[in-house]
Amino acid sequence: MSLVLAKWRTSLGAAALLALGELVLAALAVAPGGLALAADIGRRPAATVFAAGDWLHVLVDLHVASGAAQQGITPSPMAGASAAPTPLGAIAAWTLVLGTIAAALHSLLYAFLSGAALEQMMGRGSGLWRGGTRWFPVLLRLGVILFFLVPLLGAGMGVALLFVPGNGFTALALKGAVWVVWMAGVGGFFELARVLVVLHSDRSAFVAVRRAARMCAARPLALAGLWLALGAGNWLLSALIVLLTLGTSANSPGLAWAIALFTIAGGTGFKMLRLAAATNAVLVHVDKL
Amino acid sequence: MRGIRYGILVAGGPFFLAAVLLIGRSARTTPDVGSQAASAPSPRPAAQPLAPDVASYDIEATLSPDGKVVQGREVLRYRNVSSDQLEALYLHLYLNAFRSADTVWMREARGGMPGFQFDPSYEGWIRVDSISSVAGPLLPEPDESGTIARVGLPRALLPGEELSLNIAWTAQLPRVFARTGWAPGGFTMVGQWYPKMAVYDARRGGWDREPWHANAEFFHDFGSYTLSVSVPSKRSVLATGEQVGAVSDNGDGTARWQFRASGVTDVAWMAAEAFALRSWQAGEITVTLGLPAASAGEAARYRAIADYALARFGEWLGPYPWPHLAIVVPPESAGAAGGMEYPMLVTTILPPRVLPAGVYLVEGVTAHELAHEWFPMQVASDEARDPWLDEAFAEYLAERVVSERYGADRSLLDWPFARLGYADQLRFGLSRAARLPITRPSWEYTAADYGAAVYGKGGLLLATLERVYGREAFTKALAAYVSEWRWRHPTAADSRAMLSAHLPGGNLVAEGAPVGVDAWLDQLAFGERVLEVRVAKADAAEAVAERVGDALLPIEGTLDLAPAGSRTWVLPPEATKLSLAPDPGESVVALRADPRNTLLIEPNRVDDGLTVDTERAALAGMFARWIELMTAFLQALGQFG
Repeated sequence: MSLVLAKWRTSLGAAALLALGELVLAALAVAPGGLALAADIGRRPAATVFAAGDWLHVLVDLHVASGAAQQGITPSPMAGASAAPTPLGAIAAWTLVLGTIAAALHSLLYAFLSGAALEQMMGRGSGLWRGGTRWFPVLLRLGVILFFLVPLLGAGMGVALLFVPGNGFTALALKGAVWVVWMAGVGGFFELARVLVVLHSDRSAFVAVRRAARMCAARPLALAGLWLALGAGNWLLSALIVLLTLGTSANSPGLAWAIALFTIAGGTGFKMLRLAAATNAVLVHVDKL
Repeated sequence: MRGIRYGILVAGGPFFLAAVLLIGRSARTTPDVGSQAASAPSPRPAAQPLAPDVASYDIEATLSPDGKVVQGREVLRYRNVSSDQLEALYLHLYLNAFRSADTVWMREARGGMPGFQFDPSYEGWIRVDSISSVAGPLLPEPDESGTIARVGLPRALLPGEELSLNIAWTAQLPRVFARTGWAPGGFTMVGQWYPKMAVYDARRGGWDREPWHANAEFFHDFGSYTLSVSVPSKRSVLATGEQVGAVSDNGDGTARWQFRASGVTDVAWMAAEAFALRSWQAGEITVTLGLPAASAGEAARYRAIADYALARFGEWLGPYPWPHLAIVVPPESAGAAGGMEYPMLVTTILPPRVLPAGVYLVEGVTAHELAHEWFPMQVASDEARDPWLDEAFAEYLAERVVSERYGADRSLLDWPFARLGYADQLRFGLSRAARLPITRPSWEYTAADYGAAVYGKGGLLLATLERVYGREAFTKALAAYVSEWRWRHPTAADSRAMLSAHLPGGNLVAEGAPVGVDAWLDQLAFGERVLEVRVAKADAAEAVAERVGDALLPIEGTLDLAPAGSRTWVLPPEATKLSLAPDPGESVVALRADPRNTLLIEPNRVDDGLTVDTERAALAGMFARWIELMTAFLQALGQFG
């Protein structure tokens, strides 16, 4: 653990940049809604009710009002005080588009910064920029492989679990847990591949994936435990934070911003911790060979 | 019926999909409730009939071993309470609606009820094997739909005269998909299963000869019933009425159960294997709950809501008048039988398998069905022609009782991060039914519009009227309505007259004259108008509210001022716009319409207020919350990056 933490500390620069990048990308994605709030929509009582945590009631009211507006019974629910209404659909569409762009940019940012962080963790002393640019092409290719493989693996396990008998609560909860563990393992596997790219200076993402597969085959239990602890735990923590804050009031903006920044910092810190653990695991495995 | 209500929920599906996908059910280890009721309590002495007997039945029936066929005989005693001579009688044969996929009912239903489909391999029908009076055999002449049959009489039945008919019939029950039928695993719900006398009412133009429509429910005269059913011995039975005597063994693998009831318009029963029966006293009422034995641990949940609802409805509307109530929880295989009302018997729903604590679907459905024991089981309106007179009232009463018990903003869903009230469920109906009258005959609506208008908009309108006129006055009006029309058949005009007499003016008043409930009902119930207000402008010097809808009803609001203070205002019915200015030395802070959330019937409540400035602190916090959520999304995706 101390070795992992030591490696993690070397990546703090990359983690800070990743956190800043996430903040900017998230703000970009929710900007349409934010701009609407700053304008007329923010002056409607629904906005403050929503901010108070009563979001589901507001969504019901919006749904009802939109339906009535579509029938020409009432004006658009998001019509502001100015002459031009603020179309809710356009805000949602832009948020979707910008969210997708943000997710893509986030992948690119992580491909860059993870390479830089791994250089630091392996003690090569490269600067962030040099380390990032050195590994960006191959890590980007690895990301493309991920883009296709991960949904297949997730859907495949989901379908397989459907055929497992049992529909009661306990059976469904167990199936859900199995799926989460599986996906945590998939995530960990590709982190392993990422580390191996840097360790072996692979220029082929496929070669790194094959190495990762051989390594997992050699030490499946240890690695499974690692991913379970770090991957599933990360998701659980994120989900808990989101659920616990979702229905609570955001009327204390200081607290709301603190939670948002904690989410960002915690998530990026945890991500780097996983990379550090993966690096340590690889180096230990190599030592043992 | 629950299926229609769930049609409303389908319209708001995304919200409920999100709700039910979250796993976290708390284990329920509640103790069993009451005692098993395999043997009957000592019956009370037969009392005077609660209502004048018009159509009374003595029924003997046998359920086949597979639970799919009922053979029955009945003595139907019918008294002509009109001042007309009746040349013929009409019998409802409801089960013939299920005899094929091509009946009137099936064509209107497009093959099923929301969530449940007809299985043509297991159709339903009813056949009158013989019918006779003292004068000899009679001939039933079904109409094209098969669900209503004319029976010519050898001589006219005079006013006040009584006629007895002996009827033998065979009923094939469908595989349950619309309230009645059998399900695998030994469950049979037997409803609308025997030849039933139609209503003759000169005020309604004579005989009720309408074929059974998909959206329609039922309309019958009051009477007394005795019911004797023989069922396979391993089945338990619950029925309309008090059980009479102990269950007797017929010696052939069947057992005989007997029931009697007075002051009822129908009798229904269920027979099921592997069922737990639990009985308890709710005041003067003996309640028997029947539910699958595997779910017996849930009994306390049903008892809790039943006790509460019966007590409150009794306080508001007058006591439940019968000595017994049966609550049937069909098994999962017979979910289509759940959510229905009969005299002295209601069916409700099992909690879904994956359902966390804090979701009150079971309570809402049970409360709705129990409310029907007043509307229409006592105030026996024509459910087919005037469906709102029972469904809207049942929705209003259910909303009121669960909101009182669990909180108005969380009476459907109460989670730490998400809350919904029963009224929110009703509001989904407004998204399509805001301009539909709620007073049409059931067959004049599409299936989706029917639920949205009659249940959703109707329930909301009554809830709005309660807020406008005050809870006490509205409750008194309802109690007077029940008192006046118990054991009778009110029309929509009768109901309206009762409400008008008791609600002449309200809290929302136009300058110079109170606005009676007639104005509300004319425009929003019988009419197609929409009540809609919009706050169009609020700046420091002026605030403007506009009437956007065409319903001319008063709307109240507040004008918040700086440095301090608030003024109330009323937009009178005849006005379309109201412009308000502050006094010298003051400035406008905010204009709000309907600040007390009285107008639940208004479709768009998002624009009912406007502040001069944005409340920056709250909105900054909300922006931070959105960033947090978006970041969590990016990080979740980034687990694989």
